[in-house]
Formats: sequence, structure tokens, C-alpha cells
Amino acid sequence: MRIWSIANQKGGVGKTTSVVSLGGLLAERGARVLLIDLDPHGSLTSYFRYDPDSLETSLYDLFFNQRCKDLDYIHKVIKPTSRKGVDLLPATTALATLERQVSGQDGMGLVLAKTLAQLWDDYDYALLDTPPILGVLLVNALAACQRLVIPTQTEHLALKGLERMVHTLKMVMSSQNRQLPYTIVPTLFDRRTHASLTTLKEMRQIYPEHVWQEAIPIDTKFRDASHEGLFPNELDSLSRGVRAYRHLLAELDQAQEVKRETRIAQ
Amino acid sequence: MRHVSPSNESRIAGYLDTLLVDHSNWDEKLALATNPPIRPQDTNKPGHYLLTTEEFGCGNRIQKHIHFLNGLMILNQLPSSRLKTNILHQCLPLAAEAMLCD
Repeated sequence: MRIWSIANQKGGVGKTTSVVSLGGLLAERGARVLLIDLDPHGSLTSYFRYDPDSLETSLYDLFFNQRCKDLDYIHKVIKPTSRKGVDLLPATTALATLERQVSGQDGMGLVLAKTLAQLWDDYDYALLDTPPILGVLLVNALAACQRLVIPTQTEHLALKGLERMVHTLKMVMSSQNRQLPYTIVPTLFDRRTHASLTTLKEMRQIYPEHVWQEAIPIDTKFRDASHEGLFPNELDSLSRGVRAYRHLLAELDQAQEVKRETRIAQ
Repeated sequence: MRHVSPSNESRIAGYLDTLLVDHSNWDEKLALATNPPIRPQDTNKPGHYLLTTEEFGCGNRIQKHIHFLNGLMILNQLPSSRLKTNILHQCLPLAAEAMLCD
């Protein structure tokens, strides 16, 4: 299973859109995909017409009574989406209280990693949609994933969030004593604006090794797809945004393949 | 690049270490150390045996030793109390010694 976290410690940068877009494209090629909503706002959950306020079970429940090791229980929490092959591990608003309940306890950042270990043979990909603040949920996502994707809006204020995210990542890597590769994905790019162009240039200067060579453009089709509850590629598989995400997916897969080959060679 | 104040840094480091500590196999390792193996590769010199714990954490060293002790079943099962705190502090030098073998 390939596990990718989509995270940034700033809101409104396109995290949920990235998860849904990549998930839809993976389903298109027949992959079994699990989308995981770690954000108490439950945007990803709402996208698929589940109500985070009224769901009986969610990711929240896996943090208690060792349920993260109980495969039958985990299967009960997972919900289907409109697309065959794509499932959702939903959020409920109760996730907002998790910090207070478990954050002082040893090992609570490893719950999601243990859950995914149980599901290892059930899915080809797990995509994690994260909250924009450093807390037990974001730490779980970073500890569980093999690659971090950081969508970053091409505007000046987003650079601060990006800097904070990279710093948090370095601390998590140091705490876990492991390396976690990351890709910065410029989003909401509007080539007509000076702000977009200069921010993208600055981003590439500061993180030359990590910024994806292309950018996700502003595309109203994303909003239309969300309104219809469809994956963007189901609504229009040739839209500018979907084409950009298709390129990104190829890049992410290739990066992970190269890493795997390097590891085997070593 | 931005400056992160040392106190913020240390608070976040301690927080991450608590969330990410995984002591699931430390009992097994302690058992290995107290019942010395006969394999020569598990010794560093005659009569001395390695207790290998995972290197972990980005916070301060004492905190790591407390995590290590807390992770051992024998201490983990004790409820929070003055007795437990005392035991933890008395055992800190032992934890430091064990973790030096990393």
C-alpha cells in the first residue's frame, strides 16, 4: 500500500481538492483507494454526502480501546463512496475533542499507522486529508505516511504556512528517526497575476529540490465537481485542473518507484 | 528562514516525543537483556550484553529516559502515584545506561 499525506499548516490551500482529485484518478486506473478524513471540519466526509455531525462511527473511535487493531471494527467504520474501488474513513466533529482526550498519552501519534497496517492488503493507496494545525491528528498522518504532499497556494502568506509545515515535518522525522520525502505542489495558480508568478518563483528558490515543476491552476470545475459530489475527473476528465493532477500523480508514483528501486539496490 | 524560539521548539519536541514513542517491543528487549543470549553477536565483550532500544525523540534526554521506563510493562501497569514517580527517578541512571547501547 502507498500512503500519502496531503498536509499544510494553512487552510484553504487545496488539500481536500487534492485528495479527491488524486483519488478519482487512481480509481480511473483500477486502483483500490482509501481516502481518510483527519480534519474535524469533515470537508472530505461532506464531499461524499456523509454528515460529520450525524455519523455514528468515524476515525475518532479507532483512538480508543485498541480498536485500531481490530480489523472487523475498522471495516465497520469505513464507508463506500460513489465510485467503486474508493472507500472513505470518515471524520466526525467529535474529532475536535480528541486533542484534549488523548494527546498526553504515549504513542497516540501511531494509531493511524497501526490502523493502516491492518488494512495493508485491502488497498493499493491511502490518501490522508489533514487538519491545518499541529496536533494529534496531523502527527498521526505524518507518522503513518510514506510521502508528504504539501499543496501550497501561490500567494505570499502561504509561504509562511509552508515554512511551518516543513519545520514540523523535520521535527517529526527527527522524533521518529526516519526520512520522509515531500513534494510541494503549487496550487490555485493564476498565471495572469503578479502575486502568483512571484510566489511560485520564490517557492522554487527556497525549496529547489522539492517544488513540483508544474502547478495546479485555478479551475472552476473543481467547485462544480464538489457541488455534484463527483470526482473532478468524472465531471470533466480533460479540464485543466484534472490534467494537472494527472501529471502530479505520475510524478508522485515515479518518485516512489525510484525510491523503492534505490532501496532494493542498497 | 524563520526563527523558532527555543522554548517553542522544546515544547513541540516534547509533545511529538510523547505522541510518537513506540515501546511495544521494549519488554521483549529487556527480557533479552536480563536473560542473556548465547549468540556472540549480541555481546560487546565477554559478560556484557547489548540492550538495543530504538533511537527516538527530538526532545530532551531525560524525557526519553522517562518514556523508556514508562514503556516497560512493570512500570506501565502502576497507577500514577508518588511511589511511581520515585521509582522512575531512581531508575533514570539505569535507563540512561540501557539507552547508551543504541
